[in-house]
Amino acid sequence: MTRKKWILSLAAAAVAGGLVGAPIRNAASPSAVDDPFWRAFLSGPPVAGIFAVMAAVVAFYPAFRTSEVAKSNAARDQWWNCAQWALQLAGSDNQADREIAKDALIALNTEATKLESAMIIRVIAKPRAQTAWTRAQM
Amino acid sequence: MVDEMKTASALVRRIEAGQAEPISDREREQLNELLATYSRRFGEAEGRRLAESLHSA
Repeated sequence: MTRKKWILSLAAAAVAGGLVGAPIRNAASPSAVDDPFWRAFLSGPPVAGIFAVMAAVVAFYPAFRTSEVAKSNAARDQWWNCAQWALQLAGSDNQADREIAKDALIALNTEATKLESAMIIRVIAKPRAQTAWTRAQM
Repeated sequence: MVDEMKTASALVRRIEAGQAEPISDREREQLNELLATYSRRFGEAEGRRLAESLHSA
């Protein structure tokens, strides 16, 4: 979310809160806050605690998002490293090595983007390779 | 990416020269499995298009 959208969302939430809160406040008794219990509650530690929790949530969310993005990027890096290893091994002279590489690519393919998936398939089944495959079948 | 493609071409040359082991049936099955996964994830039409492009290239 961009900074502008974030500020607009907060403003929209404040306006919506006012629109919902004003009728509720007007529907309640005007002397509600004069009640000793509610006055103590609203001006004392309970509401301060609630605001502290809200502030913690507001502070936590960006940190959580940052952590999620970093985790996702690390996973993508790991995916690409594995894909590079497997694509390299797929060119081995040894049949067993190539089969292991292709098994790895099959697993990696489930998390690949469309472009990455097509790239893996094209690298493995490129035309010249297909010629060799056809000859091997004959 | 380019290096990988060079590797694959080199493999074909080595197979043709008898320096590398030939492509096995299992490897062909694996390619079909990759294509099937592609079709399942991105649609039958996309899978057909990719398979046709491999054959026509």
